[in-house]
Amino acid sequence: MDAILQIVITGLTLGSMYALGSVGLALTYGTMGMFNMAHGVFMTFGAYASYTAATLWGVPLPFAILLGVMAGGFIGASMHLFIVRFMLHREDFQTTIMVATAGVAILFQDLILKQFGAYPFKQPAQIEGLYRIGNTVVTYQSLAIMATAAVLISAMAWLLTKTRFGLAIRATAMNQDAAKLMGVKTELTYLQVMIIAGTLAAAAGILISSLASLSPAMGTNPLIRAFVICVVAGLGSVTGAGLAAIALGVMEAAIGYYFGVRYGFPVMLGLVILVLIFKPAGLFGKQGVVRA
Amino acid sequence: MTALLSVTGLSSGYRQQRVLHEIDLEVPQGSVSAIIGPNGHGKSTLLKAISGLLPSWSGETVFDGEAMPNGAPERARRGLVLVPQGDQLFMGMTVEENLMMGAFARKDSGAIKASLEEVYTLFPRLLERRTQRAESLSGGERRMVGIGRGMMANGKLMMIDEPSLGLAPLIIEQIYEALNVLATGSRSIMVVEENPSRVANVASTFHLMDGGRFTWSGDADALAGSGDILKTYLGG
Repeated sequence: MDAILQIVITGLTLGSMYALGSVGLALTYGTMGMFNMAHGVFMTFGAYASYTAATLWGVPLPFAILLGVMAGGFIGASMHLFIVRFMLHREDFQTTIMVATAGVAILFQDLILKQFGAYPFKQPAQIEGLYRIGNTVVTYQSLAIMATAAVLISAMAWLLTKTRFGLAIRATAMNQDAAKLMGVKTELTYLQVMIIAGTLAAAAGILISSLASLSPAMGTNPLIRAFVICVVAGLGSVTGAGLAAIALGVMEAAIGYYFGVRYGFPVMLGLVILVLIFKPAGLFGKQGVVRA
Repeated sequence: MTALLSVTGLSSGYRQQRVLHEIDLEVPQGSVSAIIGPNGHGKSTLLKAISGLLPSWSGETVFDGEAMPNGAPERARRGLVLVPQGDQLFMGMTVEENLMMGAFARKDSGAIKASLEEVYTLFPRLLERRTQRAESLSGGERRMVGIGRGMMANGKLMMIDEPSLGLAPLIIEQIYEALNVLATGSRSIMVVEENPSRVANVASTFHLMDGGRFTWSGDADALAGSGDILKTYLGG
């Protein structure tokens, strides 16, 4: 019983970080048909930005975290304005944008390596202390991670489903031309989507680095996980990505407990192969059926 | 009377392929014009170019006394409404959400409600289906949503691209009954249709398009007396 509770808590912590890392990726894919290979670097960027602000500039921690998150939004906006915007309406966008964003990812990873070196710094956003339920340990850090992810994801869900702004995003995602005909300024919508995705990625990066540590390559594994999650959920399904992230987080915690941590990631990758064989559109995705 | 829409020397096309060759067109206020002609000769391309979905290569589009900027969203916000071919609905949204998207650029919430009532009066079927997702609708119902969504914009000119495309004869009749109702109001409408007999009773001005140019224009009487021309182009 204790073991199960511990697995659930660890799993939910992992899952909420994964969810935060994945929903932005799902949103960009769903809206623009763009698989953003630089999404992992957005996480790294956010984590280093808040580290720099807190540790090197001495900014109070809450503001440093806020700065880190905003840095993510900024880099998302920049990538859209300087790169994506010019490629968006070209042929083969889905393929070329993967190459372009992969290039951006490599560039930024190396710039961070040059500026900070490979030393694994400690993310200052730490909350000490823990809470016991029987024999089960819940660190305040885990609680903070879960709460942060829940707040940010709920905020995004509210934005997407309840506001006019979200209506424009959903309409653009479903049918770009029709959205334009309704007066939706789709170019602006794309920019906003990139800002949201960058912001969420940076927040995920800060949370991930608070458990592990900062390193220039820290975004790589979360990106692959986010990709797996999006594929399992069905590329472009934002709600699906959130649910799949939680499920995979709990699964990874269970595998880690019963078989060893090193099996968690390979099993996840095996799962994506199975899903692609038996349910190619993903668990929440729809097969593209076109009716005239 | 000044024209509501006035197009001069408009050329456009896809990539390197020019489809429209210096089109001139005037649409008067409060009338129904029809663009007829065989498939693949630029009728839909013309509507796309006027709506701003396709960039104009040359020429000018003046609408309601104002030169139109590039880009579909800007033109739509100025009241130039296109009901596109194949409906282009928001498949994951409900019927009512689709209709409300038509009013996206409007701020007058009271009048939007009135427009919605108007759509439901014209298409009672949509009221029954209002909470259903667009993807679950039949072809005829989708067309109704497409036209209703165009009505919701409350624009100054409504361009409708092939309202009969891909529908069963009985449904086509229903759709044209609805268009007749719309046409009797003070609305300005431009409709594209391959088969002139369908629009003969609805429209007052006709333009025959062939090879990206207008080869004939005239009113309803001229259309009735132009059997030879129509036969040549449409194989009547």
